[in-house]
Amino acid sequence: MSKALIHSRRRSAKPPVAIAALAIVCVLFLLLPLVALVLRAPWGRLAGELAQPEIRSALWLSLRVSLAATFLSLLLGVPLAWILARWDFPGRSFVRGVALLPLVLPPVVGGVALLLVLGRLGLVGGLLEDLFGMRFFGTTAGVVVAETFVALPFLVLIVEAALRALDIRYEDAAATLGAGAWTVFRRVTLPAVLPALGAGAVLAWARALGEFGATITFAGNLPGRTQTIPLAVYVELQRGLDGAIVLSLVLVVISLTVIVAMRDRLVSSL
Amino acid sequence: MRGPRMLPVLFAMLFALAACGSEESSGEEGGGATEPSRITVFAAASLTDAFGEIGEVFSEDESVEVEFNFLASSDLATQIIEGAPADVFASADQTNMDNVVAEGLATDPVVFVENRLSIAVRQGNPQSIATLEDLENEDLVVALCNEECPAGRYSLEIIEGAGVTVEPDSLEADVRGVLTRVGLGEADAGLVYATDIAADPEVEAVNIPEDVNVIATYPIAPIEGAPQAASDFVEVVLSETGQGILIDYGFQVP
Repeated sequence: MSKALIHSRRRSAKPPVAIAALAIVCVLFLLLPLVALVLRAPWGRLAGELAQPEIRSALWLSLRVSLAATFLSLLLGVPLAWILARWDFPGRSFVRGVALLPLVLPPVVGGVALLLVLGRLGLVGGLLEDLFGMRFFGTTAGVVVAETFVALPFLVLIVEAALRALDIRYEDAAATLGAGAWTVFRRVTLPAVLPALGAGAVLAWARALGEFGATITFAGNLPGRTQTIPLAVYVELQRGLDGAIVLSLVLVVISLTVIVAMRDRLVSSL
Repeated sequence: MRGPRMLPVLFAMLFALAACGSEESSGEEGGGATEPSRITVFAAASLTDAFGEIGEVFSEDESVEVEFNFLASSDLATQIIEGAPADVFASADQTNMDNVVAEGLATDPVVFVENRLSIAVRQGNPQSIATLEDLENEDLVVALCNEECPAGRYSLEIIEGAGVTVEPDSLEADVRGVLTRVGLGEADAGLVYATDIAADPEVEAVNIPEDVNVIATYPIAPIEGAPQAASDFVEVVLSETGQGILIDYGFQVP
């Protein structure tokens, strides 16, 4: 009841003119670029542009690579989130900082840093090439690595928050009833944070899909192999606006779909 | 056709803004009838180092300051046609100079240097690349410029002319990108201007034979309505001193 009261009170408050004006400017600032994109789009030639082999292959590559990066983020991110949420070890805040670093790091810097580690002359890149023939520059694997690097923090952040919010007594109860640590994780913890897992995966996927800086720096740019949609937008810009706008529209539609589909989920998990 | 022109125009506006912001007091517009103390030279990006040095020589001799705008020639031509305040235009290809001349903004351009492409390999040539044919090896990682930049088009011409099949692993947006890939060791080889290789200690050149190579000619001209100092600058570029500096940076004299 008191919640409802607060809610209605909040709604009835009239904002001061200055605040309302700035808020309107803020909305316009965020919205107008999208409106301009829609207005300027070559709607008549949309289908033709989308059918171009380079654009089609960029779309297909983006889809495959971003899903692979999301899978890798889940595989590597969930265990780290669990450890950060459940295990109090020295240096935990340092590890958390490391895990979130790509969030604040400019992606190009991330790409350069990846080159210095996994590049052919990098810390371990040369070894990987000699031993397993693995190379990241100019390969789709390189794109997956770059996208995973920037997408991982979103997953770790959201899943860790959900794990912390989870009442630890459920896990304790399961353990008391004889379940091993692995069984508890699999049968109790994971199902309980499944919604957060979903939200984290979707955010990580969206981030991977939009990745540009780390990808072009670390993996290069080649249609069909490393040229994802954002890279194709960049190359198309050198030729003219139309192709770039069409590809941008595709990304906008995907982003809007993600926001609409996840609106409650995202707000509550963050 | 509005689309492709938008970007260069935006850049031109930015450039104009930056120019007003930093040098309000010394612009040539304010000079009126008196001889200006500053000229603006629009020059192809590949001329950055050489023209920087020529500019210093020129400023010392003539007590006129030179301000440079180094960009891809196509961007520069668009900016000049859109009214950017240029006094001299030095292009890395004939086409973009022709466009400026066709607009009546320059007359009688003179070719002042030539440049050609070479295979860039990492210092020491670890893969022992000696010819264009060596680039057919699929185990080699090859970087090229994309077709939007002149160097990318020249690369394709050379590859086709030589009758070899080169499958690039990455298409970079400009020559510097290709050079960086080779210098970092990510790419084993790339096609760039000979001058770019001369300027980069990380890489060395493998020559492409004259009969299949493409020669890029660089024309220069003062822009219509520019002060006398602009023609003086062109003269210095064509002088023995200017040509000597350009040769030092790996250009060839026509």
